[in-house]
Amino acid sequence: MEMIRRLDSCDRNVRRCKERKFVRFGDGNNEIMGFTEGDWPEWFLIEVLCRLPVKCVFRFKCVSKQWLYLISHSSFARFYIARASLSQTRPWAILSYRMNVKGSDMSDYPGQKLLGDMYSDDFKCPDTFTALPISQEANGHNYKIIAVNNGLELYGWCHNNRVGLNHIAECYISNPTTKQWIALPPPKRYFRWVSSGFISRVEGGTLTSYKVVRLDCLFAKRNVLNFEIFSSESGGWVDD
Amino acid sequence: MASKGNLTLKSCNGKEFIVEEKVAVMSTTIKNMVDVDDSFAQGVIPIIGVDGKILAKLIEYCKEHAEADEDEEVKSEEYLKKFDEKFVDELNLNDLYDLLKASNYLEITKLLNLLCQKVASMIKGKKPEEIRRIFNIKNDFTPEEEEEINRQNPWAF
Repeated sequence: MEMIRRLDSCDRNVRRCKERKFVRFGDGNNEIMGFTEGDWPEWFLIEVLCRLPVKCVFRFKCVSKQWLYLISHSSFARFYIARASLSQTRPWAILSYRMNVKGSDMSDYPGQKLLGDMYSDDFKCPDTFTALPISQEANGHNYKIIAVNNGLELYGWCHNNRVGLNHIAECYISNPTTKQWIALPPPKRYFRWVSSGFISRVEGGTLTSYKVVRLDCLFAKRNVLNFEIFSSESGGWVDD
Repeated sequence: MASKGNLTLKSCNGKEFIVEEKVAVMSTTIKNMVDVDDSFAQGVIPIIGVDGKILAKLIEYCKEHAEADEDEEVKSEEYLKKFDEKFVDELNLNDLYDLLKASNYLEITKLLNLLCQKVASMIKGKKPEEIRRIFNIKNDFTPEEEEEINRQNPWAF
């Protein structure tokens, strides 16, 4: 009986070792490399990179060939998204320069800064991006990152003619590490001052469902909250 | 020989440390060893490839965290946070690297997390050339290759 218990736990132990994602100490050449010798063990470089804002990671592609290889690898994108979805404690955040809604709290919050924490290490995070996938129609217009969730970003381009600056003509959800994207139908309603929120469910590094909320920020005047929601389940914008 | 409830850990340069079992089993690797074979619990556990200085650091970290897990009142979350901050701030680059390797080998997940976070905060906001300089990484791109990467990601700069 005792023997069986021991064998059993031995077997479990071996299985545990096989399942580990880290390279074991002493494997390959890892043990002779230190910070002072240049190359970092891959497992460690991945662990460090997935703790950095997306924009930072991109900038580091040109550190060395090892870094470029790891960052460009498709499994890194999955790992990054999976980790971002694990570490995110904020269930719901609506960002704008006017307001931040966190749970049921409402307060003034520099939205750009919060966005910057998640997306970029640069406080002066530029909000126009030409490297994101764009449609033919959007050429020449400004792009705006609207929200970031689980390492995925919601972005769109605005008409800068008659309807006003804040009207999003088209929006997209993109995984910046792979540059894969999906387009959302244009929002139905026009709000003069708008806050947008984005929430997504990620399983095993893959986006499975998401919701986008657009909220009219001038509600105080009329005591009515106007918003519209897009959900991946319904596939369309729904009014309040 | 360690008394009951204690384990003896031996570094690669022969230094022995007697630690409480609850402290030692913060390391999943040691926990598995003790679980599988009772003889480890009585004898000396050799910690291959980890020297006395690094092992002492590991034990210092595990001791604080094991005690905090047991009694949250004496060692609050805030206390632990301050301890963690001080712990990583005092490390030089070589120790940091040795600790990383050792905590990976010994599977001390919390510490590994802390150290990765520390390195991430060290490189956050830095330019690629600064990172190369700090960590002595060789730029193995030709100027043309580097320009091509920059061209593909203009918004990252």
